[in-house]
Amino acid sequence: MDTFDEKEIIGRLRKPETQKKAFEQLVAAYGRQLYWQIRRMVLSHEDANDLLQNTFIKAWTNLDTFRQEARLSTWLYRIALNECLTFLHKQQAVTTVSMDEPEVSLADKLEGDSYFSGDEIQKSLQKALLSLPEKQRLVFNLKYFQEMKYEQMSEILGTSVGALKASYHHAVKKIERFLGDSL
Amino acid sequence: MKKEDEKLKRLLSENPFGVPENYFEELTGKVMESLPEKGSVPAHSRRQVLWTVMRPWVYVAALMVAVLLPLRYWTGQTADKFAFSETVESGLLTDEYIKTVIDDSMMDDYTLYQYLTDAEIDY
Repeated sequence: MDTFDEKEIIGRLRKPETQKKAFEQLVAAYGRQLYWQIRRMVLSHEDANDLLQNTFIKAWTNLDTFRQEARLSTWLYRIALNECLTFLHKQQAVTTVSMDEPEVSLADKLEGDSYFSGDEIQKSLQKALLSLPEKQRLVFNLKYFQEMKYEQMSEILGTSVGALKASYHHAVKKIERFLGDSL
Repeated sequence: MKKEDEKLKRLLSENPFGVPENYFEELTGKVMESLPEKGSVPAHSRRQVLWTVMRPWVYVAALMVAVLLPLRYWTGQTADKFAFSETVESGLLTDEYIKTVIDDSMMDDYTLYQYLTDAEIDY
């Protein structure tokens, strides 16, 4: 990330002859953090991996639509989070048909995921996070795990800083209440 | 409360999620392999592009239909009226035609009289 010069990368992304190499640098710079943000939303590694690939494919095919008013990372996060929300809505539609609670379905996936090593209290924590409304969960994850500033979050989600702070505060309270005696 | 906060913080600081071996090391390469060629636009994107280009024309065509259809209907009616009055003026309505129309309307003589009086038609 130290060698990542956003202006220079944007310039190279605009030229067909340097575009692919610059995009490779972009993937190397943001792949990991985007993966973790997606993973904390969808929980399963396979789903997170698919959504990450889709995010970069969409970014690549829509490079011409990128406007320099936003930062590259903001733009990538916006695509990734849209992918996540679309995925979660599809999941919700499936679970509505099967009469299950959406968070139960995601938590079930966690049970069978070989890339999840959490104990019972960790599973409870994940269930507490899943009980939050999607956007509140997004805000909580971005703030807590990515340590993202509210200003950047506001650019990504199109929500005011005040509303984001309130959302985060509510999320923490709900998690504490959900876990209750477990803590 | 303080103790609970500390416990929650510790819980949140643990990462129970794992990834396959060398996942992040191989990620960039795998993503780059999965990218489509710049020239080859997927079919659904081609449809989107076509729709983006065609959309204004479709809207204009729909607007024209919305405006011209009632206009044509109205002018058609007016033309028919003129055609009818021309027929009346030129005396093309034969007695036989009038008899057929009156029979078809199933009016009795009194209703017909009333209708003609209200309409103030002077024959």
